[in-house]
Order: sequence, then structure tokens, then C-alpha cells
Amino acid sequence: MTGGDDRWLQASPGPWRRAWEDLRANRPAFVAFWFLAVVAALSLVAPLLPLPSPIALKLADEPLAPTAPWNAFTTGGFRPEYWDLSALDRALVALRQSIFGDLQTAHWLGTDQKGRDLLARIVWGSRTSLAVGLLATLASLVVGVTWGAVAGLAGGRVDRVMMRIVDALYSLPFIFVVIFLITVMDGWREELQGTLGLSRESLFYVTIGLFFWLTMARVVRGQVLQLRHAEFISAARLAGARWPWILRVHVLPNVLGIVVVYLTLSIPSVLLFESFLSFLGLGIEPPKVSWGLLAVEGADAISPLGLDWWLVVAPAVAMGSVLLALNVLGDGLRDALDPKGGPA
Amino acid sequence: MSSLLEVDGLAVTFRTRRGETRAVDDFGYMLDAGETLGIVGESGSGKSVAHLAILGLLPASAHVTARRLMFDGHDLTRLRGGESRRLRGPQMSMVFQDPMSSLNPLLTIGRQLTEVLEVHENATRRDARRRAAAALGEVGISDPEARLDVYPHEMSGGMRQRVGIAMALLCRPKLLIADEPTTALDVTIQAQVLDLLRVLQHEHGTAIAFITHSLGVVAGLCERVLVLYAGRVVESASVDALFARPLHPYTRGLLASVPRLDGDTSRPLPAIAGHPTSRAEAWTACAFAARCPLVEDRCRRSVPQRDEYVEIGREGDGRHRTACFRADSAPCMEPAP
Repeated sequence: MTGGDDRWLQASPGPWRRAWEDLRANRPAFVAFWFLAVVAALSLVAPLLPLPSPIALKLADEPLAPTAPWNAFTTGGFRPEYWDLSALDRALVALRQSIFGDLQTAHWLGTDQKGRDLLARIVWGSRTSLAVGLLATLASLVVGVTWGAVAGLAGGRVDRVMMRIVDALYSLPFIFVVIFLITVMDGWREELQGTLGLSRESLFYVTIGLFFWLTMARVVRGQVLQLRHAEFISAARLAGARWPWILRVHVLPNVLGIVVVYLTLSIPSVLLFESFLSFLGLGIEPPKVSWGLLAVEGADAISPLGLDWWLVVAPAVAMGSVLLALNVLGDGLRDALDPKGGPA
Repeated sequence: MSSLLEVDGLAVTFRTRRGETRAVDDFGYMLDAGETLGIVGESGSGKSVAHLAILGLLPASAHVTARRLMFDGHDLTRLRGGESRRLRGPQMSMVFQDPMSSLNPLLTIGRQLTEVLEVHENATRRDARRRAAAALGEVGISDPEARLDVYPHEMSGGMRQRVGIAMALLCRPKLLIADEPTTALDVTIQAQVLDLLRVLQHEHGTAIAFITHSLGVVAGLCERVLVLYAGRVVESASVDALFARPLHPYTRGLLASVPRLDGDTSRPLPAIAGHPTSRAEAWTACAFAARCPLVEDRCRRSVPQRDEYVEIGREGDGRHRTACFRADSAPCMEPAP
């Protein structure tokens, strides 16, 4: 055994490790990855940040354009006004007050027509996008991957029945169903709220979760069908492994790559969908904010009386950059997780 | 003494939307402990399917029947779930054709090797690793301890096939089915792998069913040969007898089409004319009739049975059987009494 051989043996990273290194070498994808990480972190800790309240009104003032310097803070005048926050968020806001006191950012991105700080609204609005994105991810991962993997592995009649269910759900025109459901449910709002504790928002989330795993189930099933006849699966069966073991040890890890890629490429569509519904007035309701709502308000701001351009541009840039980053990251992941190595 | 593996009248039918396709029909052989049997035939002749059926690895769309399927005193047709799991893997195991796809790319060699131990025996991790390393050393992989933590993509095809063999032999099976284990390898590695199988068989007394389409490999490794055509056994004999006096026209064609260094290299190799028949016609006639140079009317009318033949003036060296009406056209052979 030569020394060179030893080094070669020690420097043997696992497939996941290698994918991570490939991703790191891919500059745009790596930047996109960190950008998304920062955005997600900021939106998670939004209540802690020294931002003005996203809904405190100053109706007397004219809308304020973004003005330099973009590092100024003001003290005094912070009004802790929010919608019904969860207990955790309330605690975080209290913590923010004890840390920063009245300190808050000046209106770095300007204010809207009701005098609300745009930066605060964008950061708080990103939490809706994050929630929708996480929900879609969860539904895809838990329901979609399991459904597809089981159907693909079982084959035969089980597979046919499971995939016909997916087909049936697919054939429902998603957007119309959501609009229909939400509109109809609006009629019984009080009753639903009272008996089931179901708000329109939770209904909105449920519908997204209900539909969003379908494509993932198909993608995973296709992969598993290919994998099912791999010789290492036969070898595992011959070794006496049961199906759950094969699923866990051999099948799921081998489809994980494509699952991750598919997720990063499909989250944009669900973010856009949230914006679209909120834009139509069927999604998130004021006083809560979401990027879709901000887009509505931006559109309203375009009037013959004056062009408050920042109300359109800022939310659009926020949304656009996140979608772009997700796409770039998805592309990068596809190359990194490609076992054939992709372009060198 | 009864044989280790007894297969008789094995038939495999695939149900498809366009009706049934019989991939294997009336397949059978006996294999004693420590014996090596070669199974030859062209692609699609049912070699692999028959053995996957014996191991119970065929998909649900395959319908398997057998008159007799005994392994080491167990009736494989009666085994269910847990029992067959205890038998497969430890007792009967398989080396696969393609070393690229027979290892999970995401598991280290060590995890892969110890899978069978994890599933079957509650061996401790350390013990499992020790046994895995020993198995790797046995198949001639240097520095086995370190290789346990290596991933398949870091190994060459020959090394991976060695890992495949180590995996199959880890539990000291009584029966090893080798499904073209050398087809994907180049010639020198092929020779090494064959040597390795020979040595391991000698040490552990494993019976090997060696599936291949290389007659050279059969001649070098096996004691007996089975020739398959269109899902049926057309000839079975000891290696010596088969190579010296092939009875079935298909076997003769196969042997004639093997290139020989001492032959006339200026002329093109003889080839068997035509293509393998579709299975549907094989029901009522000899499946080889359409390509057979010796074909007669009766070959197209009925299916020849496997009859036993002996060489004139010689004591039979094992049973030489063939399913051909024209077998007696081979010189110096006569039907066995």
C-alpha cells in the first residue's frame, strides 16, 4: 500500500458531501443559497428587528419616497401595533422593545399612502410567503414522496389505484376550486370560525396543502419505477430485507436528489399563487400583509395624481429576487446532485 | 442422497395486456453441493428469468409454476414470507451481472456488505464490520478495512464485482447463482473473477449455477452444462461430452460459431441463421425448427422430449440428454436403453 493510495482513501467524501462541494463551487447558486437563507432568517425573526410597525397609520402625511441615507435610525415614535400575533411573536415583540426600546429604522423604503413603513411591510409580508412555501414543501415531502414511493414500489393494482387518485385530483382545475371554496366558505364565515376555528386563511393553507403534493407524487413514482429494477434492490430483497427497509435504505435516499431539485423549482409557483389569490382578495386579508397584498396596493398607487413608484418596485424586487434565487439554486442543485458530475 | 437444488417442470409466464408470454417452459436441473453448473443460451432464452423465479425475485406480473422446486430439503413453492427470507440471502444468494447497478451508489461498501447481517443476524456493528472486512480480503481486495468506508463510484468495475461476490458469499451460502458476473468486465478481470469463484468454491463447497453466454467460460469453470433455447432446455450434458459430441443442432451451431485460434481465421465465422422464435409458436413444435438445418416434418408438428443418449461403445459419463428428433443423426450416438 503506497502513501498516495492512503490519501486517496481518506479523501473520499460521500455523495452528499460531494454535492455540497459542487454547489459551493457554483458561484451563482451558492450566492442564491445564502441570499435565501438570509431572507428566511430575517422573516423568521421579523418581530425582533428594529422595524417600525407594519400597520401603524400616519394618515396625515403624504407618502414618503425612499430617501438616503439608508442607515438612519430614529428614536421615539415606535407604536407596537400589530394584528393578532401568536404568543411567540408577541413575546418576540416584547423582547424587541426591551432590547431596542423605541429605536426603529427610518423609512428606508418610504411609506405607503396610509403612512405605513414599506420596509416593515415587506419583511412582515415575507412571513406569509415563507409559511406558504414551507407548507407546500411539507406537503410535497411528507405526502407526495411517500405516496409516489409506495405506489412505485408496490406496482400493480395498488399503483394503479393510487395514481388514478392523483389523476382525479389533478384534473380538478385548482385555481377555480380554491376560488370557489373560499367564496362559498365566506358565506359561513362566522359559523366556521365559531365551530371549527377555521379562518379563511387556514382554509387557504389547507387547499394549497391538499393540491401541492400531486406533482411530487408523480415525479417520485417515475423515479421509483426506474429504481425498482435496479440490481441493488434485488440484492437487498435477496438478502431478506423487507419492503419498509428497502424503502428507507435504498429507495428514498436515491430519489432525494431529484426531490430537492424539484422542490426548489416548484416553490416559486406556490409563492406566485399566494400572491395571485391575495391580489384577487381571496388570500391573506388586511390588516395582515403578504407580498401579493403589497402588489395590490402598489397597483392602486399608480394614479393620475402622482406615481408612487416605490410602492410597486420594492415589493416586486423583493418577490422577483426570491423567485430568481430559487430558480438559480434549483439549477445549481440539479447539477450538483447529478451523479454523472454535470459540467465540470 | 438428494441434490442441493432440484428444479423440475419450472414454467414462468408473464401476463401482459396482449396476452400471456411464456418465458420459461419445462425447465429443470439438479445441482449437488459443491458442483458447478453452466447455463448457456442467447439473450432472452430465459436463463435469468428461470433463476430469478427460483429465488422468488420476479415481479408480481410473473406467474411461476413448478412440479418440483426443492432446496436443501425445503419446498420453495410452499415457503411464505419469513421462512423464505431466512433461506434466501444466507443460504442461497446471487451475484449480479452489472457491477455498476448492483451496488447502491449512496451507501458505503461497508454498509452495503453488512446489510444482510443487519437484516438477518443481530450482529453488532463492530462484528459486522469485521466480517465484512474479512470478506473483502477474501475476494482479494487489498486494505479491506479502509475500503469499507469507500463509495461504489470510487471503485473500478472489477473491484465492484469483487464486492458483489463478497456480498453474496458473506453468509456462506450453500448455493450461489452467478448471473453473467463477468459479462460487463474486460477479459483480464474476467479471468481473475473466474479464478476467484473457483477458489472460493473450493474452500467453502458452494454450489454454483453459472449463467453465461460464453462457452469458453463454461468450458473452464463448469462440470455440467445446460443449453437453453427459447425458454426450454434443449441439451444437458457434462462439459466434456457437450464439447466433444454436441447433439442438438442449436448446440452444434453455437459451438461452430465460437472463434478458434487454431481454426481457419481467413473465413467468416459460421452463424446460426435467422432469429430466435417468438414464444407463441414454440408450443406446438420444436422452437428451433425455423432455424434448424436438419429440420424434418415432425419437428414442426410436435415438441421433442428430452431423451437420454449414450455414446456407442462407451460407458456413459453422466447423462447426456437432448430434446431433438434428429439427435441420432449425430455420429456414434444411440438412444440410451
